[in-house]
Amino acid sequence: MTILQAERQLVFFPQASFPIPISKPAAADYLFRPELESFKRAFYPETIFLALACVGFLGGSALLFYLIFGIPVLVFFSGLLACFYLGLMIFKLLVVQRGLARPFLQVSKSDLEALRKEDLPVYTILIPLYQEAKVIPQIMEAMGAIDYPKEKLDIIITLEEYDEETRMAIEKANPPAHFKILILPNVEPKTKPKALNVAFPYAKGEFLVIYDAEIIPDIDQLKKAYYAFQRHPEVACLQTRLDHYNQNQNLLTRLFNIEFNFYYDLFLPGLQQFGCPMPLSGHSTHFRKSALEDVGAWDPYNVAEDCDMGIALYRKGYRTEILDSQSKEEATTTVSSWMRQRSRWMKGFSQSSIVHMRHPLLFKDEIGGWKNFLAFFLTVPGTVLLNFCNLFYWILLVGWFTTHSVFIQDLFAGPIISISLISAIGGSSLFVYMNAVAAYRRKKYELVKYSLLFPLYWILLALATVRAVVQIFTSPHQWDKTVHGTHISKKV
Amino acid sequence: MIRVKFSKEEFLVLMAGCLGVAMAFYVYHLGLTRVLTDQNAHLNFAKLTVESITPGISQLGFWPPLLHVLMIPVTMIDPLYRSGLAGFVVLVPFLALGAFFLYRTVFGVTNNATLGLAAGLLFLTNPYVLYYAVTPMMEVLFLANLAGVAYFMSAWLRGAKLKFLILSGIFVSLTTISRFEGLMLLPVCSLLIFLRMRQKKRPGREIEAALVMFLSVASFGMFGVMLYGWVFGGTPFAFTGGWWIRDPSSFPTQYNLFGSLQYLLHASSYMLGKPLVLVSLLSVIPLFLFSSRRIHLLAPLLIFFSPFLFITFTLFRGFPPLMVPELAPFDVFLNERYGLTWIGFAIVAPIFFIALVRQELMRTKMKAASSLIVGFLCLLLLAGNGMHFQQKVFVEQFREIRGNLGLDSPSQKEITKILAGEYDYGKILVTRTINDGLVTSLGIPLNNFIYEANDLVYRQTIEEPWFFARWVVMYNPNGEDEWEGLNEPIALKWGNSPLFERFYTLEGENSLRRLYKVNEGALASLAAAQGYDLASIPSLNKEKVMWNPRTIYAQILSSN
Repeated sequence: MTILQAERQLVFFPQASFPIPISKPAAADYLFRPELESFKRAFYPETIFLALACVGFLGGSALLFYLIFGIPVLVFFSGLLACFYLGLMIFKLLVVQRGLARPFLQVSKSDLEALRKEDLPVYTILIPLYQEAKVIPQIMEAMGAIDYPKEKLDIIITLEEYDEETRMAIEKANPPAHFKILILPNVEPKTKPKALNVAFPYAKGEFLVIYDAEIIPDIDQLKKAYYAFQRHPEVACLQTRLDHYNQNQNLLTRLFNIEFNFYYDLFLPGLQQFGCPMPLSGHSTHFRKSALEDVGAWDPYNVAEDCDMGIALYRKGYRTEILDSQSKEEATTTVSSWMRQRSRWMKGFSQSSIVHMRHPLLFKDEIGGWKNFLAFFLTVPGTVLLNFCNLFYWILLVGWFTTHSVFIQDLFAGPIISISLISAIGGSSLFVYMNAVAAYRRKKYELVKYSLLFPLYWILLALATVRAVVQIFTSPHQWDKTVHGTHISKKV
Repeated sequence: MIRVKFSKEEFLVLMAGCLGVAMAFYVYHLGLTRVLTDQNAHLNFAKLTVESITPGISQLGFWPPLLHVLMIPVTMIDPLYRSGLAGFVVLVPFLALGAFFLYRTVFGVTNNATLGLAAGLLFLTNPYVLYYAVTPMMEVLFLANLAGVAYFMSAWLRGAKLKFLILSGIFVSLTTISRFEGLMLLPVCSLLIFLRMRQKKRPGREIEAALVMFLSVASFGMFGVMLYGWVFGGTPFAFTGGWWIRDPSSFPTQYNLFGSLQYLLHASSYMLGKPLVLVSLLSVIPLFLFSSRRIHLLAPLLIFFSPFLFITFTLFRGFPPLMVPELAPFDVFLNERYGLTWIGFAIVAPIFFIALVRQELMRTKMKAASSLIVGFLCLLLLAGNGMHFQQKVFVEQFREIRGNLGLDSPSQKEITKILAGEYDYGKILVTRTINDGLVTSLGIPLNNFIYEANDLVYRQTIEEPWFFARWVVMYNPNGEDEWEGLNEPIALKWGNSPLFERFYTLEGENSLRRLYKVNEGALASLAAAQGYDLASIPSLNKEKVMWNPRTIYAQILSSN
């Protein structure tokens, strides 16, 4: 293997549609986009103005409804939220209905066999690592098993310079020559996308994929991806279907896997079929390197850089498809580690929402109109809002059952209660069932009955989202590292 | 010449429409569209959801709600509500759906379009299927959904596709909210799924997953009913009945299995015709002895037979009662329509038998004649059905309905007539459970009634009716009906009460009912003595159509 020390160098992407200012100090934080397109600064004047305008609009509407129709302000907001829930439910159902058709890009065995070794290009695999000593043997084995000419594999492992334990574990594993270890400079932000951006200029491949430390991809995934890229030149990004290898470790991993089945088999494919922007996964997503250059690589300040990348690519007019190939990862096995990971994802969703909605009308034009704007709103900020409000509604529900409070009852006056019941009972039941359908279709029969417990998972989601929203203000760039390797000591 | 080609399904749908319209006219002409207490009740459940003084889903009641929900928009059209033809508008499409699914079920199992068509036509030409398709009752809704269960379950047995499993679950759910006989489908279909997957040697976890996928959809309807009962009735089992249920120990079928079967089979002979009942039961034996595709036959047969099992069970428990003239208490019909609910089995069993005969003939030298023989046997069934139709519809003119204990009582009609003549304005306090006919027939907006489901408004009114109810209809405490005397809430509270009679004058009376009107002078004296605001008292003010039960007393006392 080769060990490189990353240098602080000016990076210029010829394909990028915006120039990196030459006068800028050498991208010290490895941000290759305009700052407005990143979360380097959370709240620009535009963001604050937009927030105030929204608050003003909503407040004004509430006042108007009160003056004209006599509807109390709280009841107005209750009705508004009820309509939001109903709208989100209908949207998700429509998306899932499309996803049921299984619109994956298929690559057959015969297609793969027809590929000639000499035609295969250099393929870069980026593996950002931090405190992953435990899973080094696993990642080495997984990379070794990949069915792709080793001389055409450009594997770059990034390491923090102070992560001696992982470095020693890698050296002990003695990886082959096509592995490169890139030592990262000790600069803020300390995030995975920063690591990717440091490694990105060193990537030699025409195509690029990110694998996390604990990933076990299908061995033919790279070939399938290459084939799909060749067959579909209009596609810039391929999302694979994620799975867990420790799904049966405990109830949490089962519920986590049920969520994955739904998300990667029904929801994302449905979004793709609708032609809507898709938040991507943080690993096992394949890119054309040129597309990444065009968008300015990743946002080092976004803790869900995958979600942001999916939207950024879409804004630039790039298309993403879902490849029928799987990568297995480790499901977090404890509530605390799950909570940290999910809070980070929701924080990243919030960051992506803020960044892309800074200039909403421009965003609407770039995203392809109001339909896609609405789809983005419901998928990304809508998810955060939904999870956040869920906690509030459950507290209200418990409060009503215990106290029969007239105040709570009055919040759900007239048609609001009907709409809320449809969303709460109908919507919840439907999505619990959709989770079961997704598990059944993946032939994970043992998980089907656990789908009925999914409302417990929603409680965790709500708590994680509340934590995330608080962290947006208190520690917006903090990366809560997920601990891997807990499955190694357990029989799964 | 223009030739129009219909598929078999289209033909059946068209037939359903034509027969439905013709029967609606005929039944309306006979004056039988809205004569049974239950018919009025179904209409009222639907309309009161919108037009009650306390509208909303709380008015849907504890019966299976599907018919009520479907009728809500139709009952808003007053002529359809008052005539009872709201039922026709909603149910004829389900008549067509039932025939469609019957055809598809039989065709799927036998691969013979003629047999499928025969099944659909047998369904459409049953006189009581048609009667209950043009009047607001639940039977045809249930039969159509039941046929849907049979079709999708049969399709799943053949192809094991997840969508058929889910669809059969959806239709099971719909049957449970059409009639409670649908509950029997939960264990029946679960058994079929289990047997089929065991037959295919699927692993235990896959069988478990399939059952979870099916049952979580199939039980959704019942879960909704129980949740509704818990929220609005205080118990998830509110659907099993309340104070209006009569003592089951008085019914001869209680804890008597033979008696239960006897009553049900007698009722079935009225509804289906004796020949069809006999032929269907006898057909089962050769089907299971000689057919090689047992599970594909067993599934639809068991599904269609499940209502029979359920009703036998309920008769064995003693409630609800079923009466036919030749058995005790004699000379009267009541709930004889339960005998209609297993018509699917009565049709499909002989059809499958004919298919078996055809299959055997195809193996012999009579191959060429098999189509003729099949056609002849189908015609025989249809002819028998036709004779049954002719007898019931034109000769007897629905004797079972006209001689039914469930008809609105003459005493109720008499009070309705008096009230219709004298009603000026204001609310009518009434026990709706036993006065649905009065509510439907009176011809006034339904938000003028105060009844049991009006929650706080009702509770306030029954405590001090003179403030809120200008009119009161109650059971005559000196009347003949012991059960009503022990159970009717208004009479229990105020029957023969001096305080009540101080504020009300008797406007009409017969052996079962009393009609009272508020005594304006007495109430005005009370208001003057106590310093009440007369203008706030709803029973004295035409303009006071709606009020907030939480603040009305404050308003009445406001000049104090």
